[in-house]
Order: sequence, then C-alpha cells, then structure tokens
Amino acid sequence: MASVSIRLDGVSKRFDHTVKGEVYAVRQVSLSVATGELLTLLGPSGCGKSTTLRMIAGFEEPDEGAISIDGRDVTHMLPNQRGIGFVFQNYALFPHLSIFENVAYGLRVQGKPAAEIVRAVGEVLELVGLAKYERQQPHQLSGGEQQRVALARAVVFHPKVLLFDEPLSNLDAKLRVEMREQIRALQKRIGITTVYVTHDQEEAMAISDRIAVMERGEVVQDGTAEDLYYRPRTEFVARFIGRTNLLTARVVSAGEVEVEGVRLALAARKPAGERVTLVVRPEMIALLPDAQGAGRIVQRTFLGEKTDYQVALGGAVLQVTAGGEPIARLLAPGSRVAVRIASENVHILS
Amino acid sequence: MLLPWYALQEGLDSGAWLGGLWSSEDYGSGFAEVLAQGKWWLSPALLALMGCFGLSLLPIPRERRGTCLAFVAGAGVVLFAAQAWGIGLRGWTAGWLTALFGEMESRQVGIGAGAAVALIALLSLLSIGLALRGAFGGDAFVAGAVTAVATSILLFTAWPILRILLQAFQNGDGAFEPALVIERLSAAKIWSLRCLSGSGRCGVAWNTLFLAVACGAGTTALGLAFALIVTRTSFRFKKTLRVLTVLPIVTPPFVIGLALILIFGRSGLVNQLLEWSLGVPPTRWIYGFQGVLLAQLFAFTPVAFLVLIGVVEGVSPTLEEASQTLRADAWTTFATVSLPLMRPGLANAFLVGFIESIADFGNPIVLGGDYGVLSTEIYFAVVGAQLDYGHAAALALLLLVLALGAFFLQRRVVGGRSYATISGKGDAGLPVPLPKGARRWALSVALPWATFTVLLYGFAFMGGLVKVWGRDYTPTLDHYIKAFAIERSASGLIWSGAAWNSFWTTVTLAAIAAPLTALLGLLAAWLLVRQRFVGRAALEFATMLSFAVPGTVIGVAYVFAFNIPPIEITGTALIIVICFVFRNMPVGVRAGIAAMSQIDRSLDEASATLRGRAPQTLIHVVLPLLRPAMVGALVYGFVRAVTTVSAVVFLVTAEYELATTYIILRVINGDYGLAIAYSSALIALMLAAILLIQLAVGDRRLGRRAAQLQGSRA
Repeated sequence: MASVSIRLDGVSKRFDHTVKGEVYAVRQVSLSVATGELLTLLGPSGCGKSTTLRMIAGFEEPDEGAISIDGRDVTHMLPNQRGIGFVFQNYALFPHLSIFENVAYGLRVQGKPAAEIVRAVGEVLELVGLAKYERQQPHQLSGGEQQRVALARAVVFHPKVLLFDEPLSNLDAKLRVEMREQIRALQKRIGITTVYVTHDQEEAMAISDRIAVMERGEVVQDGTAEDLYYRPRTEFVARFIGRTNLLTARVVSAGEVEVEGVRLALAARKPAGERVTLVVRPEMIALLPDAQGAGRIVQRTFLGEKTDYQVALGGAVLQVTAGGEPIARLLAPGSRVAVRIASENVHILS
Repeated sequence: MLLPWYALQEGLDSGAWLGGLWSSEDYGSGFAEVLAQGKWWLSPALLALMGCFGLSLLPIPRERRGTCLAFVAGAGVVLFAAQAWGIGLRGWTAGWLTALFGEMESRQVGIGAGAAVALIALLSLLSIGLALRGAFGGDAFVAGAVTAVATSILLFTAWPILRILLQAFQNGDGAFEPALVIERLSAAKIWSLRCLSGSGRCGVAWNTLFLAVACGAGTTALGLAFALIVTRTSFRFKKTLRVLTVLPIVTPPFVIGLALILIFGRSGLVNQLLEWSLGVPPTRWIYGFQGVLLAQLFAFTPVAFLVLIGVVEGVSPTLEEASQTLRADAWTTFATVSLPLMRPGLANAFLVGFIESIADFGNPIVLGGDYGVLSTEIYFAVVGAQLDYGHAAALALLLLVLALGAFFLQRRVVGGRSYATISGKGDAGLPVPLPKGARRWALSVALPWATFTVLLYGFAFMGGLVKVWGRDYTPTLDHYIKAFAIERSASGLIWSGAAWNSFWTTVTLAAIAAPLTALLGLLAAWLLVRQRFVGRAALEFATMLSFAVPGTVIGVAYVFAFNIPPIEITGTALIIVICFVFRNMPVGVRAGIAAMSQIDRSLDEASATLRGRAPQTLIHVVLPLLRPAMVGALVYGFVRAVTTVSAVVFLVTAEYELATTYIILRVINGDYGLAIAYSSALIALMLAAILLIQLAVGDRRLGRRAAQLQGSRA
C-alpha cells in the first residue's frame, strides 16, 4: 500500500441538541487515506459524513481525536493552512468575480506573479473544458459548468488533498453520471488524494477506490465496492449497498444450511440447529418453471435489460432479478417456480 | 341626494342643514342647487348619475351596456372635476374661463357630503362599466378596488405634490410666473458655499446635503458594526442589541435631540461639569451641524442596523469557507469576499440614512440653531413671519427632488444584481468568525455607542423627573402632574392636565387612521401582487413614490392643496387623518406585499376553481392568512401616526393639536420638563403597544409553523 496521506485517529464531534441533549455527530472515527486514493464517505443523511469531511477541511474542530495530512498534525489548524481543495455542494463560486478571477482567487491570495496566474488558470480551465469561459460571470453558466469551475478552482494551486461535499446532488441524473466520470478521470490524471462525500451508493461504487460506510456517526465498514457488496459486515451495510434478501437460515450440518426448504452448500462455522442470517443478492437466485415448485411468482416488473420478480417462498418474499431472458421465458405472476440459490456468492452475516 | 352638496362650516352633526336642503344656497342638495339656485354646472354629474341608472334598466347586451355605462360615468367624473376646479371661492378660477363663460355671479366653497357621495357613486359606476366591458378580468370588485386606490392616491398624494409645483411658479397673487421659480431656486440663501471658505454660512441646500451625506455614512458604519457583532461574533448580549432596532419606531424624532440638550446643552451636564471643574464657560456648540448630526446618528443608526443585519446574514457562509480553502486568511476573506458581497447592501443603508436625514424635521428644529436645513426652512417659510408660500414651495420642490433622486438611486442599487445568496436549499456552511481586527473595531465602535444610546434614553426619562434640569435637580413628579393631572370633582373626573387635550386628539385620530391605513395598504398590496390589470405598474410606482416624499413636503403640499375649494379641509381633523393614512399607507403596502408573496398563488387559484370570486377569495382565503401582516400594519400605522411630526406640524390647529406638535412647541419655548415627561409617556405607551402586538403575532406564527410540520409529516 502506498504511503498514508490523510489519517483520522479516534475523531469525535458532539453537538448540543435541544431535546436529546448532547449527541455525537461523529463518534470515534479512525480512517486513513492512501496517497492518490479516492475514498468515499457514504451514508444516509445525518450519518456524520459531511461533518467528518468538514473536520478534515478545518471548518469544524473535533472534540476528541487527531487529524493529520501528509504526516502533519492539522487538528487545530485553520482551513487556509491545511493545503486542501474543497468542492462545495452549491459550488460556492464568488458571484462578484468572473470565472477567471474565481479560479485565480487562490493564487492571487498567495501573491503569485500575474503571468503565472494567467498560465495556471488557463491550463486548469482547459483541463475541465471551459477554456473560453474566462470572462463570463458565474450566474451565466449552467449547473454542470459551474461545478467544473468549482473543480478547477479547487485544484489550480495543487493542494495536497481534494475534498468533495456531495458535489453532484444539484445536477440532474444524466449529468450526474457524466460529471462523476469526469471527476474520476481528472482525479486519476493528477493523482490527488481525495475524500468524497455522497449519499448515493451507485455514485460511490462508480467513483471510489475505497468506500467507508457511515451510520449514526460511526464508520461501520470500509472497503472496496466489491467487499461491501459481497461481504457486508452488518445488516445496515447489506441493505444500504444494492438490493438484498436477508434470509434466516438453519444450519443443517458443517457444510450445509437450509432456507425455507431450499438447501445450500455453505460452511456456516456454527453447530447444527443454530440460525444464521444470509445475504443473498437478487441476481444470485435462479427461478425454474416447475408446477410442483415451492415458490410462487407474486409480482413481475419488466425493466428491459432485466426483470424483477417478487417470489413467495414459505414465509418469505424474495427479490429476484433475472437478466436478458427471451420473452417466452418470462414468468407469469401466479405461476409456480423452483428456486435455486448459487451458493458461492452467498454471505453469512456474523 | 339628501345631503348638502357643499361643505358646512359647522359640520354635519349639527343637523341645521336638514331644513335648508331645498331652499338654502349653503345647505342645498345637488338637485336643489341646480334647480332652485340655478347652478347649471352641477347638472352634468347628476345627469350622468341618472343616465347610468337608466342604462342599467335598458335591455341591452352586457358589453354594450358596459361601454355606455363607462362612457357616461366617465364623462360625469370629468365634468364634475372640471366644474370643481374651474369654479372657486371667487367665481371662475382662471381668466380664460371668465372670458369664455362671462362673469360668474355665485361662488363655490369646498365639496361636502352630497358631492362626495355623488363622486363616489360615479366612480363606482365607472368601474362597473369597465368590468362589464371585460377589463380587470370582468370582476367589478377588482375594478372598484383599483379605482378606489388609484383615485385616493391621485387626490391625496399626486395632486398635492403637483400643487407644490404650481405654487413654485406662482407669485403672491396666484398669477403664473415661470421666471419666479428660477429666481427662487437660485437664491444665495439656498446655494451659497461661503462656509467652505470660512466667510459666512452655506445655503440650506448644501447644509441639507452635507448633513445627509455625513448621516448616511455615519449610520452605515455604525449599523455595520452592530450587524457584524450580532451575526458574526459570540457576543453575549446580542438579543439586547436587537432591542435597539425597535427604538426608532416608538420614539418621536425629536426626543434624541432633547436628550442631547440635557447632556450637552448650555445648562446640560457636560457644560456644567466643565464650568465647575475647569471654569470653562458654557458653550452652545451642540446647536448646529454637529448637534443635529449627532442626534440623527443616534436616531437612525438603528434603521441602518436593521437593514444591515439582513445584508450580513445574506452573505453565504459557504463562500467564505470556499475562500478559506483557497488559502485566504480571515482578514483577506473579509476584505475580498464578504465586503464586496455586502456592497449593494451598504449602498442601500447609506441611501436610507441619507433619505432619513433630509426628511428629518424634529432634530434640526430642536438642535439646528443657525444651521438651517430644507425641512426647517420650509416650516419657517410657511409658519414663520415670512409667510412666503412661493419660497416654501420652491424649497419643498428642491427637497422633493433630492429625496426622489436618492430614492431612485436606492431602487437601482437594490433592484440591481444582488449577491444575497440565501436560497431555499440549506446552507450547510458556518459563518466565519470575524477577523480579530474587524471584531475589535466593531466592538469598540458599537459598545460605547449602545451604552451612550441607553444613557440618552435614561437622561431623557430622568429629565422629566427633576424640577429644572441644570439648576434644581430635586426629584419631582410635577411635570407629569402638570401634563397628566386628573381631578375629581362634583361633576365627575376632570382631565385637567395640560397634555390631555392633545393626547386624546392624537390617540383618537391615530386610532381612526390606523385601520384605514391597514385596509387601504393591504388592498393595494393585494391588487399589486395578485391582480393583473392595465396601469398596475403605474399604481405600484405611485405607491412607492409616496413613500419617498419627505413629510415636510407632504405637509406643505396639503396646506397648498386643501385650503381652497374644491377640497377645503385645512384646519379639520379630516385632513390630519387623511395625512396619517396616506403617509403611512406605503408601510401597509409593503407589509402586505411581503406577506402575500409568501402565500402561494395556487391558494387563490384553488378558490377560483371552487367558484370563489375575487371578494370571496380575498375575504375567505387571503385575509385570514394575512392576519399577522394586518395586525402589524395596524399597529405600525397607529404608532407612526402618534410619533410623526414633520407632515402634521403644518396641519394642526388649536382645536386639533397633536401630542408631538404640542411637545415641539414646548421645546421651542424652553419648557423641557413638561416636554420630556410627555415624550416619556408616549414612548412607554408605544413600546407597550408594540410589545403586546409582537407577543400576539409571534404566537400565531409559531402555531402555523407547527401545523405545517405536522402536515408535511402526514
């Protein structure tokens, strides 16, 4: 693993709540981000992800713990001394300055020579594809363009780390996909250490090297997208990342479990008769037409490239996704099916 | 047609007119005047009325009837106006009319109840006719409301101001002399700049301008200091500072001046202390530019404070955070981001201070001494020994131009691109704490100032509790007793205090005016926000304009416009009430517009789809939702009416004396004790009124918010 760029060590932030008294917005968060890595903080609103990011930026001071950037303790340092670039949700472009002046702001503040400023700003605007926009005012630009200006402004003085706070949530769905690809490409090209905050799990999976899932102020799991999807550590993570079936199974023997009458070859590491919870993703289940089958189709949703089924099996209702089947093979609601679960990807929650 | 056409000397309630409705020239009704007295020129209005009545009986299509109705009624109104202005106290009012129609035997006094009713009837018919033709969305109520608001603004704001213009061009006998206005406006007394070279006094125009610029700059700087402290520091007594913003609303404008006299005047504390300790003879330095400026800074800083709180809060904290991530320190952020973003707001605050200063009458009259400004010069030209109406009109014209100039500039500043960055979306950023230097500056400016303001009010209050300020500091209630004594006698209570007469007049007239103010203001607001009709922009412009006209100008204008027929109401309580209403109506309009823009238009539309017509929608949907705004407009209408000086100082008479003008006269006579006692009582009363209402209205708002939360959860 490459060298560590950002390190959070047992960081906590408390707030005084009018009803609940003292509550933790962030609790004992320890994270490290490697140089050049893109780490996403993912979680529902109010989980503390933005507060964590704002503590890294220096807008808020942690009540406990320490934060360091490139080995330097920045816990109580002002934002302007930390060497960070920050991209805000609402872009935060200065409305009284032109695009050029917005991007140049950080360089001007540092007293860089004019020629260097012109060159650097030109370069970075070229990089985000806005070379001709220098004389425009922020309000003349579209949301996506404003976001790119914000990005250019954040990277123009080569900060050590780049921080994003829900940068795409004000854009429409299509633009969001486009922009996240651009952000990822740019990040890789300049190889900058990045922390990215979002509540959108698809966005997180698409853009990140690593994702830290947060719930109620704590990091519940951090790992690659594949880790989180196939080996979630908690029920919360399993439900938050992708769609999932959480099924209660009974251990039959050392190598076998049973779910609603369906037997699976799985090493449960538990004595026979114990109950375990399985994480079964919808696409891991296969349905076979069978008049005597244990399952019954409750609902079918045709989505084109795939078809979603709800299948009643014993006491449970399963989410099943079947992909790219010929029309003739579509199963009608009410018909009976046999249920097969591909056991190699099924994960047992500890 | 059972009311006397002309105004009566003794008023309607005497009943003497009942016997003379037909026979007497003075008491006659409209028909009687035409038929029995041969006043043919009154007949068009009456004929038009009858014509309209006939039209509504004829079986003709809706649109045709509307056209005819509008035409006949409109003609009636025009001819009514023509005869009203054409024939005055001495017959025809202009030479060419005499030439055209021959010598006039009789004369006309002001219009009375009968004529007023006839005019209102004609205007209603005109609006019904227009509505029938399809104007105003075919709604007679909207048409009527527009006509009512427009006519009243025309009569009581536009016409008086126009009258000033005319007066400025007329010589003492009323003849038209265009050259006069140039002579009047170019007088050395107005434009001299000798004070700059140290060889004399400057003209009043320059005096006014210097004062206004200094006042605007000063109040802006002070207001900014306060606003920064309240919004950007962790200062502990922020809430207390906010109380300051209520003070100027409840304080009659001259009270600050009074308090300053108590401290810095010849027999004030400072002079006495200096004389006692250093043997320095008392000076009069408080009287003049510096004194008035000081008083205005105290009086208007809270206004700037109020404006600038919004401005400072409008600067998005995220932008300041952005600046910080770009390596700017707190001071650079403040200088390159926060301040530029506030610039339009600062300009606005400056212009507000400027406008307040040139419109101020109370402080210059109390403290000005030899330093005359336009508003006081106008007063002396009308009331003083000169009695030069033309001069007053010219000065008023100048003041009006200054005020309107500043007003338009302000509109451009506010209307231009605003950087206020509050949007519906929550701004997650935290305001960046002020840089140390700015914080220290703000605190060192604002805190002494706030302390001194409190001291001023304290002294103003104490001044009423000692025998003679400066000579005999024995505590006494004499001034209060003198002002507010009530004696018990055989025939009941006798309100023997000197202040009671003016006090009750003030309260009664303000209480009559306040509901009218609120009603007219909200009606106008509703029309402006919710209805689309021809001339809407003009109406909005006129309402906003009357906001910008200084009180002194309105006062003089009323004197000029309404002391001769057709509307002859000078010296009555009516003119004071009308003055209150039209001076304060813009406040109601603004409150109404603000409140109404928050009520979703779809509610109106929902009512319309449920077959509610305009009046029903207004009564059942808009008004209930507007209750807080209505209560607010009522109270501010009342309070402003009680505390105003500048306009009514021209309109009061011995019979209808107002509290503020009474106090001013006491001050001019040097009777400070009584004046201060009276002012304190007024301030206390107004403060009580405002607090009571804010309590009531505040509660209602809380209730609504809770309800909305529940709604959104369900």
